[in-house]
Amino acid sequence: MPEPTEPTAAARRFENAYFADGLAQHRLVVKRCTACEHAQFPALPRCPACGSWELRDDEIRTSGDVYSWIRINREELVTDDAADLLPLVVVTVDLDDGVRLFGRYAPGGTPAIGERVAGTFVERRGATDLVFERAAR
Amino acid sequence: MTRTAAICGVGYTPFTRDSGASVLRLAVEACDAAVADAGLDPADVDGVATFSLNSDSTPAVAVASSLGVTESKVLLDVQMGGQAPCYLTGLVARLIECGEIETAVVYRAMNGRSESRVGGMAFPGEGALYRYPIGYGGYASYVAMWATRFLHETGQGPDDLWSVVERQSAAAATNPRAIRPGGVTRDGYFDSPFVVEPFRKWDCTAEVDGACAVVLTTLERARDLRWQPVVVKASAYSAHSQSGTDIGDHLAWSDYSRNYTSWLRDRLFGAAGLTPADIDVAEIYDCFTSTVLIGLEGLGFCGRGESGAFLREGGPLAVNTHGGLLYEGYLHGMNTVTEAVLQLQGRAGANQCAAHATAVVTSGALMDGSALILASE
Repeated sequence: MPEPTEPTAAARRFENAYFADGLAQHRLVVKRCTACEHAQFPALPRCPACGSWELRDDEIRTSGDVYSWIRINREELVTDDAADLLPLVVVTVDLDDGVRLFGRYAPGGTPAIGERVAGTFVERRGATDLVFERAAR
Repeated sequence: MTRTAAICGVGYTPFTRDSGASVLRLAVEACDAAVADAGLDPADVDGVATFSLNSDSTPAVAVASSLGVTESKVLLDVQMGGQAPCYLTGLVARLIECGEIETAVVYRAMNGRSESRVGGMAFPGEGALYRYPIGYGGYASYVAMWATRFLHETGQGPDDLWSVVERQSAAAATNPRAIRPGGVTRDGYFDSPFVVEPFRKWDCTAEVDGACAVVLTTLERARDLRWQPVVVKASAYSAHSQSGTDIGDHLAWSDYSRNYTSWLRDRLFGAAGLTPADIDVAEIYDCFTSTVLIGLEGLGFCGRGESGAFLREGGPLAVNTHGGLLYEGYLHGMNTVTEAVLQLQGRAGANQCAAHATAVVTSGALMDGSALILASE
């Protein structure tokens, strides 16, 4: 698939920069509402739960449970700079701190729904990815 | 006096892997064919509606100009993919009913194989920065992510996906428009490698170049035209809540085992005054096999977790009679609507169902989408 430079670059601008900036520092950062404590990915301009415009950056834990997963085998389905990661397992994780997030899964592994996982920060091509692996329950 | 809207004609270009034509040419060919099919003239048309994804098509104004529409009263372009066909058809029906317009064409046109392939498109919403940096791209991947959870939660599996392939690939074998020959065998299915697990090649739609269109007018006028009118009994769209920032953003959607069909079902059947038991034909949007199962359950044609068995039992409901988008070709669900019209008018050729008074049609796979209930008069 074509390298989505533009959308990613656009999404990193303005109030969305916190996520990639956090990963670069090996911190998983979420936008949390100061009024009702609702946490959200992606960061919408205001809290969808209570309407407050006051959101703060909040570092959260990388631990959670696998909600779903896939294994991508075809080059045309991944971004150009991820072709060398095939087959690429992507997990959707319900994090302990109340948000859902996508991440890579440890290479060669096969996750299961409900599996306990934790993320580690892995440098790749000038950026930081969150890579999940099985964790003790 | 209350006006009712009806579909009175359909038009297609051939579905190919390389049209060698501009998208505008394809669009105009399909719209002109639909107008002629109805027995109308382009001068009768005063509304044109279409949809496109990341600018992969040609706008309604270009089609109105090329068709020779003499007074364009509504030209509608929506930025959507496969959620749009039932949505636009329903909106146009409402515009006709309230007297805003008399006769409209709804089309989808694209070089979806040779130029802009959705399978490789990047979507630009705020969710992008959580997906693309880790390589999580491709629409197939997102639908697969839902399929894994859906199959797990409903206690279904590969045999249930195969049941969709078995039925629809058989239908494609007798559909001259189908881009794929059909007739996939069980061994052929299970021996093919995963594209994105849990999907094999036969679970994924075939992208095509082409166009198709429907024409709507008032029921009163449709009665004097060439074919039996197909009344738009009900239409509904739903994006429920927290449906993201683009069609690939499902971070905030809570339940991957239920899509829009679960949320619009009561409104849709309620508006038509019908129940699932009253429906003869279901044309369920199927960019991937799992969406047929989710749709059948979401609309209440069968219970939760029963959709695979429902297809295998082969009850009276006709499902995806053209082979679906999976086997006829991926015109983003416009050809799902046209197939329902052909069935209700009794002109679906070798794949014509015996009972064809009512149909449900859906558009869309994940968070948001739309549906119609159509009935022959």
